[in-house]
Amino acid sequence: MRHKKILSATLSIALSALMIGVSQAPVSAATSTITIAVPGLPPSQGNPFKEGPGTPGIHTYAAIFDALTRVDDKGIVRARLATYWKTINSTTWRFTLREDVKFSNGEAFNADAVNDTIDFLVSADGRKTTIGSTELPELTGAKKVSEFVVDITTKTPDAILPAKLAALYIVAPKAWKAAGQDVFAKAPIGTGPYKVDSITTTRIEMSAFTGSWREPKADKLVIIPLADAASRLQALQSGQVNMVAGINPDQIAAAKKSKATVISIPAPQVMSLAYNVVGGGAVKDVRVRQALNYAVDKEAIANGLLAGKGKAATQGVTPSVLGYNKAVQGYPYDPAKAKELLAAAGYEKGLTINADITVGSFPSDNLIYQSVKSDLAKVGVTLNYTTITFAQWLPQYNANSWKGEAFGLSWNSAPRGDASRPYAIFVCKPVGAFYCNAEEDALVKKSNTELNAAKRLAILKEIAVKVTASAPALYIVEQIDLYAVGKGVKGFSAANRLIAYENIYVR
Amino acid sequence: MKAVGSRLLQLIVLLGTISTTLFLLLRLSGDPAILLAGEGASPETIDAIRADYGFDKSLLQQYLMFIWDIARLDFGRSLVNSQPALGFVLQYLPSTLHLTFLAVFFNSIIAIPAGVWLGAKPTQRRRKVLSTIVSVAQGTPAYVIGLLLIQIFSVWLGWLPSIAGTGTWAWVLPTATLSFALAPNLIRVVAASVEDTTRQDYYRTAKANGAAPNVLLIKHSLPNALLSTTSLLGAQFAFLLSGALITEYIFAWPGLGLILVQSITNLDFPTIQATVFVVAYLVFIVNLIMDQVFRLADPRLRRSQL
Repeated sequence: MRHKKILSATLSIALSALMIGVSQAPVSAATSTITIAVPGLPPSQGNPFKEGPGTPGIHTYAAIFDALTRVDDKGIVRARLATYWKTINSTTWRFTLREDVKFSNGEAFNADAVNDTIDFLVSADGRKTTIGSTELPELTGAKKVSEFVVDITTKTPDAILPAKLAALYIVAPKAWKAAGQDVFAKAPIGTGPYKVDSITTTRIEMSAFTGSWREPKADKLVIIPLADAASRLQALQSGQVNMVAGINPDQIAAAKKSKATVISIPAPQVMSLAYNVVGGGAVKDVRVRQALNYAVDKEAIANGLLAGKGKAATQGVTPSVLGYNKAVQGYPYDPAKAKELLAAAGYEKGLTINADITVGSFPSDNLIYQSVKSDLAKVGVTLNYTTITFAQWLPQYNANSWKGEAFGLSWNSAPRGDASRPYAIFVCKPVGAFYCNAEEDALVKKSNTELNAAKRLAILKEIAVKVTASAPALYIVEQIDLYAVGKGVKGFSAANRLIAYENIYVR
Repeated sequence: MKAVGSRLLQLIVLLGTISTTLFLLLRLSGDPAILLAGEGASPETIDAIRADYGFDKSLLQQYLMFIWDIARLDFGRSLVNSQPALGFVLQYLPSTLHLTFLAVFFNSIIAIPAGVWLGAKPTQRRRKVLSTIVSVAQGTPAYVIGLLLIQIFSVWLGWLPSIAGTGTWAWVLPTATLSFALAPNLIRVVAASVEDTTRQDYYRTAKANGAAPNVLLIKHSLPNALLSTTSLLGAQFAFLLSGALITEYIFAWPGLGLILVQSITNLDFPTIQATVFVVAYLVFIVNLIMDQVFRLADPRLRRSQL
C-alpha cells in the first residue's frame, strides 16, 4: 500500500512537470521568419563593446547594429553609417554621416550618437571593454562638426582608421545612457534591420525594424546557438532552421543532398603554428623555421581537409586583405629541401617541437594539426602538441609564457581587412613579444602612420616579402567560412563574416 | 528537532567545503581579467579590470569577501553579462528540473518493468537477447543516442523538433535521449536485484508454500528489489540536476549544465560559483528525500536511529 502511494506521488509529480512543459511551450515560428543556427551567441549578449569583432558576436550584431564603415571581401572600405571620410590633419579624420538613419527606438542617428559612442569607448569603463582596449586603443575622442559631420581623433597618425571603425558599432545614445551598459545588453538598440525582442543564452528573437535604412525583407529573425556541428546540420535538414553558419567540410555532401546550398567564403585568416622565437631553442634559427614550412603539404591539407575550398597559405594574409602580395610564393611542399635546411641548422637527426594549440575555432582544425604532425614526422621532426582552452591560451599569449617552441595562432585580418592587424602581432612588443625583427618592426610602424594609400600599400607588400622569408610561423592554410542555406531561402550573402540580413527572405 | 539541526549543520559544512574548494580551484584555473580584456590588451587595462572585480586583492582577502558574500547569498554579478549570478542561474533551474523529472520518470517506466521481466527468469533465451541489447545500449553515449533520435524523428520522419523552445513537442527528444541513456543501467540493477531475491530463503519458502508466480514477483521480489532501484534513481536524479550537458549541448537546451560549461569557458567565476552552489544544495535535498524514501520502504531503517 505504501509503495503504491510512493508510486502514485511520483507519477503525479512527473505528469505535473509534463503539463507545465506543455503550457510553457512557445508558439512556433511564422512563415516569414528567418531562423539561423550559429555555433554560439555572444556571451555579453547585446553589449557590442565587450565582444571581439569576430565570431560569435558578429553573427548577432550584424542584424542589430551598424558601424560607420564596413570592409568588403576585397579589403576595400565601404560606406555604412558614414558615407564619406577624409583626413583633416595627421591625427584627425572627418566623417560625413548618412542622414536617413534612425535607431529602432526612434532616436535619430547623427553626429551626437557617434560622439556619445566614442565618448564611452575612451572613458575608463570603455577602455576595459575588448573593443576599447584591443581594437581601438588609439582613439582619443570625437567632436561634432555639424549635425551629420564628425571629427574623430587618434593619439598618433592612423592611416586606416576608417577600416578599423568597422569594428565599432554605434549604439542608441539615449537608450545607452538611460539603461547603462549592463541593462542595455538585455535590450540592445541599433540601426540595423532587426530589433531585439528577447535574448537568452539559447535563443535571440528579433522583429523587423521597418524604419531601418537597411529595411529587412522578413518579419522576424531567430538566432539559435547549436554548438555541435552535427546538430546544426540536422536542424537544417529537418527544416527547423533556414540557414547554418559554420558547417564542417565533411558535411558539405550531406548538406547538398538535402537540397541546401553550401556557400564557402574565404575567411581573412591564415591558420598557423607561430614560433616562440624569443623563447629560444631550435626555432630561433630561421633555417629551422623555413624547413618546417617546406615540410608540410599545405595543398593536400587544403584539398583534403577543407574540401578544396581553402588554399595553401603563402604568407600571413589572404588575397582579400589589403597588403596581400601575390608575388610572394611562400613555401611549396619540398621535404628534401626541408631536410637539407634542418641538416644545415645542425638538426640532421631531427628535433622535437612542443606546441600548445586550441581546436574548434576553424573547420577541420583538429585534423589539420594532425596532418601537420604527420608531415613533420616525415622529415624527422616530432611535433608534440597539447590542446588547451582559449582561457589557457590567452594569458600565455599576452605574456609569452609558452613552455614550448610553438603555439596555434590565427593571422586574423578581420574585420578591418588590412594586413596591419596580423602584422601587429609579430612586432617587438614591450610585453609578451614572441618574435622581434627590428627591420620588420620599423616597417610595420611606418605602415601604421603612412597616410598615402599607394605608399602604404607598397610598405605592406614589402612586409609580406620580409615576414614570409623570415618565417615567424608555419603558415598552413587560408581558412574558410562555410554556410549552408536551406531550400527556398533567397538573398543570402556575407562578406568578412558580416551577413547581410536585410536581404534574406524565404520564398 | 535534533535531526533537523544535524541536517542543517551537514548542509552548511557541505556548502562551505564545496565553496572553499571551488574558490581555490577557480583561482588556479586562470585570470578572468585577461579574458575580459581580450587579445593583446595592455597590462594597465588588465590591472584596471582586476581592480574592478577585486581580483587585485590578496587571496585571503578575496576569500573572506567571498565567504561573507555567499553567506548572504550574494554571488556577485556575472563577469560577462553583468547580471546577478544567482538570479541568472535560477532562471535556468526550472527547465533543468523539468527535464530531470521527465527523464527519471520515463526512465523508470521503461527500466523497472524491463528489469523485472529480465530478472524473474534470466536464463530464458529471449531474455538473454534483451540482456545483451541492454549491455550494448549501456555503452552507447548519450551524444550518439541524441543524434540518432534527431536523425530518425526530426530529419527522416519530420515528426519532432530537435531545438528547445520550439513548442511542446520539443521536450520529447531530449527526454527520450536521457531516458534511453539512463535506462540500461537501471534495467541491469533491477534485473540483478530481482534475480537475487529469487535466491533468498523467504522467496523459496513462499514458492514451496505454493504462491503463484505473480504473487511471488510482486509481493516478495519487487519490494526488496526496489530498494537498490530507488538508490540508483536518486543518484541518476542528482546526476541530471548537475546538468545533462551533452543533451543540452545538442538540443540547445537552456539548462544548468550548459550554463556551467559556458561560464567555465569564460572563467565567469560568479556564475560558476552560483551554479555549483545551487546544484550542491539540490543534490543535498535529493539525498535527504531519498533517505526518507528508504525509511518508508525499509522497516529496518525505520527502526534504526538514522
